Amino acid sequence: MDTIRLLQTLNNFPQQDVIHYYIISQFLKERTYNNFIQLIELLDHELKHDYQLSKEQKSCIQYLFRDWGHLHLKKELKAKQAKAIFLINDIVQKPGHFMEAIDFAKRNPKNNELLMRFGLTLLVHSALDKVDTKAKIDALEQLLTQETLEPLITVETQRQELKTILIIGYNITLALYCIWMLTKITYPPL
Amino acid sequence: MIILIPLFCTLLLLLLKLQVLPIPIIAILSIISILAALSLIGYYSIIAYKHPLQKRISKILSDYEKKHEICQRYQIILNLSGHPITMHTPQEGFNVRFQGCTINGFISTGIFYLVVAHPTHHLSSIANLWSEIGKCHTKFHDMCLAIHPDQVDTLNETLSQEWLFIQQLLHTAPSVSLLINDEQLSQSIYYVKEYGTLPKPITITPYGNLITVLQQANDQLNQWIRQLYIQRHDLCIYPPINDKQKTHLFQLSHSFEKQKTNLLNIIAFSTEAKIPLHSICFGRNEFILPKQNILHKYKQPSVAVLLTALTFGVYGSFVVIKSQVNTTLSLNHGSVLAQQLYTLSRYPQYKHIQAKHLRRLKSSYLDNNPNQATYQYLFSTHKKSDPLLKHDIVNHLTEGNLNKQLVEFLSRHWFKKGRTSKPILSELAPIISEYHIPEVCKILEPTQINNCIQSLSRIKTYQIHDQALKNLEQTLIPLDINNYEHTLRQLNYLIQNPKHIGQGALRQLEDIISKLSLEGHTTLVNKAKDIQSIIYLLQSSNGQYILHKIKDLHVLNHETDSDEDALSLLQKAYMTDRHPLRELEYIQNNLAKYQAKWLKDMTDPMIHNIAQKANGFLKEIWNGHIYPELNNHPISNTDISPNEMHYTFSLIQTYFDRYIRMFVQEEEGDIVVKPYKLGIHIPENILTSYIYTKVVASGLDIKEDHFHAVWAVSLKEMPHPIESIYLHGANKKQPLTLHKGTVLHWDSRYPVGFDVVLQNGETISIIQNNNWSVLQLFSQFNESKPLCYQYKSENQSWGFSIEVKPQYPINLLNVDLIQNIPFSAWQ
Repeated sequence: MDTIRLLQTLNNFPQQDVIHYYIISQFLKERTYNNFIQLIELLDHELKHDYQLSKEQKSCIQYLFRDWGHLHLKKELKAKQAKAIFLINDIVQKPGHFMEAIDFAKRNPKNNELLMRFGLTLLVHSALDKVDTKAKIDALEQLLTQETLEPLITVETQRQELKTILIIGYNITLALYCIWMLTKITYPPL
Repeated sequence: MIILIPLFCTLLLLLLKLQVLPIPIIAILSIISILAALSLIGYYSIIAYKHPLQKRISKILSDYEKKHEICQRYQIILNLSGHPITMHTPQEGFNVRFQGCTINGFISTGIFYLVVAHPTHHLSSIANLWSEIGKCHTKFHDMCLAIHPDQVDTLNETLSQEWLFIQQLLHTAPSVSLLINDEQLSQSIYYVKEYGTLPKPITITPYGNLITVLQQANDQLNQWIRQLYIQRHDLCIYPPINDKQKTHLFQLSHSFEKQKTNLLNIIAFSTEAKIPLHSICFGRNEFILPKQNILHKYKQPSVAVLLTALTFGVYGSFVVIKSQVNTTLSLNHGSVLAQQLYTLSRYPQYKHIQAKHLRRLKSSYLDNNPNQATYQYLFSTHKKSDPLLKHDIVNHLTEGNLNKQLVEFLSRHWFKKGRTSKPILSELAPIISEYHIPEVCKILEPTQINNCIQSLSRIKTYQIHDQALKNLEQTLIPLDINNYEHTLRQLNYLIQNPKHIGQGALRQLEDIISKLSLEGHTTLVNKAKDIQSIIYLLQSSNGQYILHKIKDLHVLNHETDSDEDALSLLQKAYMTDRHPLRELEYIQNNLAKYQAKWLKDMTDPMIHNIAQKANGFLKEIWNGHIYPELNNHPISNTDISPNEMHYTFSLIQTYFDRYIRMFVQEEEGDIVVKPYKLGIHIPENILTSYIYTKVVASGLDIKEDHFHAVWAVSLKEMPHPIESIYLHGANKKQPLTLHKGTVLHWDSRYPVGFDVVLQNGETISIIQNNNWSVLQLFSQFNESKPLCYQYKSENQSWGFSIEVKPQYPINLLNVDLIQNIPFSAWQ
């Protein structure tokens, strides 16, 4: 439900980006294994119905999120749980290749813009040392084009303001006329 | 106040207009009310001045205003968020405590803030504190309610149940803003502001349409969420912040999205509860104050409607008073209207009405004036001329009925530049005095002034003396029909002392003659001599006779009370040569032309008076008695009975014999009014009616129960196949013989007509049987030549001709004669 509302509000942004934002935000809010598994399911489900990304790109996204989460929960996870996390397309991947996955995304910037944005978010909120991530963050920032948002033209607000100004103008004129007339009202002693 | 002042003024005006109370009492009441209001204001001002909180507020304000500009806005913040509200900019202020409440006053960016808080939100303490703040008389422009983000979802319920007092405060505030504040949110908003772009605060239209307000707020909240979403990376990368703060900044967009529904609910609640919620701010450094408080006040429809209604009310009063003034002026004219218009000149608001009625007054004087064109010229060309000339012209037009002040007033307004054709000098002369002739000529003929002055002066002299001669002529004998006794005494005196007649007049005439002879006014000299001759005539023995007759006429006129008397008098005058009226007419006919005219002018009013009465009486009798009867028994109807015919004819005959006969005479077979100039007028149609009835009666014997007439019928032609013709009349059947006369006695009681016997033995009857049977019988015949009638059968197979000669000279067989008797009213 939360996802749908967020998607509606951010409907002028790519849907995948918004979902990526949502799952990262939700994880940062509640950093638990169960929440992480649920978010992985949500991500996998979304990717399953995505027909624009290639299989490799999908796998990269899946791996990036899993390894990023794994780094955050590393101390708390059991081996079994870690194995369950890294099961991607029925193949258990090895953890620790987060930076390589980022490099994969950077390799073809034109096609991997989505991956890079996802990677950048993960890097900014990574559990890795800032010294390790800084160079990658800078590189990704340079490759990514800035998202823009068209200013909200509140035509309705402008109309309301205009209407109010007209009413006030009308009333002030009438009030002045009224005061002027009060000075004029006299019945001559005919 | 804006509404109260006009209301107070209107009330005063109404009291004055309706005269419910005397003016001094209204004045005293007004003064007492104003003094009482001033005393109350003074008392509360002293209390406020001595209040400790007010002293602190005044101190920091004065300290601040010494160094900076004047604080123009005051905001009170009711902090229920549980977190302190401080500004990032340096502040000067004070902290005090009252019944557990903290009061923090400070100034930031030219705005004075008073932050009120209680650690446990104890409402009774807050209420007491509020009452104390009220005593300070510090007018706060805005009120801010600060709450914690966790309180957002339950704020509506809390305000409705636990914080009813707060809701009332919000309801009465001029403008309300909602501040959502906690430490972390405040910090995040600060970073957004410093390292990114902070979206514009959420502004709301108070008392607006709910759906519109919600749409606007929703758009603005979406803008917030999107702006923060776009900056999610930059805000987390650049500021020097810890991971916790970074996460909070990253989640800000999502957090706002989650709060969006709650915020919209708050907006909906405030709109429905009539809380003037103006804005929603996030973080302590994000206050937004309405730019113009008055804007929101005017958004209240009641204020706009009230003000508009008030204005129209005043306008209506103005219109009513104006129309009353207009009506009053419309009812008057002449000098009264001029006086009213003069009074009105002290009231410039009625200038338009005054101008309209000035035009009306001018038109009323000009419309019936024979010299209208001349006046129009003078009014249109004397814009800059001598004021005395203008006064002269106005005086002349208004016949001197207006006082000097009004003449001066009218001369100021009536003279306006325009284009009119030049007047004729003879028309211009009576209007202007001799003194103004050069001035008028300067405008009228600027190139030929001397000629103009000469001509105009000559005309003026002529007109003055002509008028003088007329006056002399009219006053030679003092004849006033309305003053019988006086006139009679004067006439008797003149009869006894003929030498006293026109003594003064003769001297004046001598002067006039000598003066006018020099100037060459021959016509007037002759006229003066004619008047002299009248005086000499009156002084002679013939003049005595004339005066006697005039006296007789005066007496007769006086004694003629009723219309019938007047008729009787004139009947006698028309019948008798020795009657005074006839004698006067005789004298008149034998006098010289000018003397005869004078005598006529003297006697005509009296004769006219008598004749008018007599004519009126004749008309009244005809129109009131005779004519209605004639209409009830129309002769043109051929069903009229002999009895009715007899009645109608005798009615006209009687009227004629009794009232008309004395005034008419026969002249070449016609009846005309006698040619005496005594004023009797009998319309032609009345005389014609009489003549027609005479004609019909002369061709017919009108018996009491039937009509009778006699003709000699002679058969002129009886072609084949007619064997013989028999004539029916007066209950008798007689055979007709060719070229031999047979007497036809027509008796309307019996059938009249012919039996035609054909050679084959067939008999055809051409017979009529009613009142006017003879007319209907002969209407079937063709009159081939005078008195000869021809009958043709329907199929034209046979016919015969007869000659019908009437007994009297009038041929009654002409149906038109009877049907077209011209009875009509006396006009």
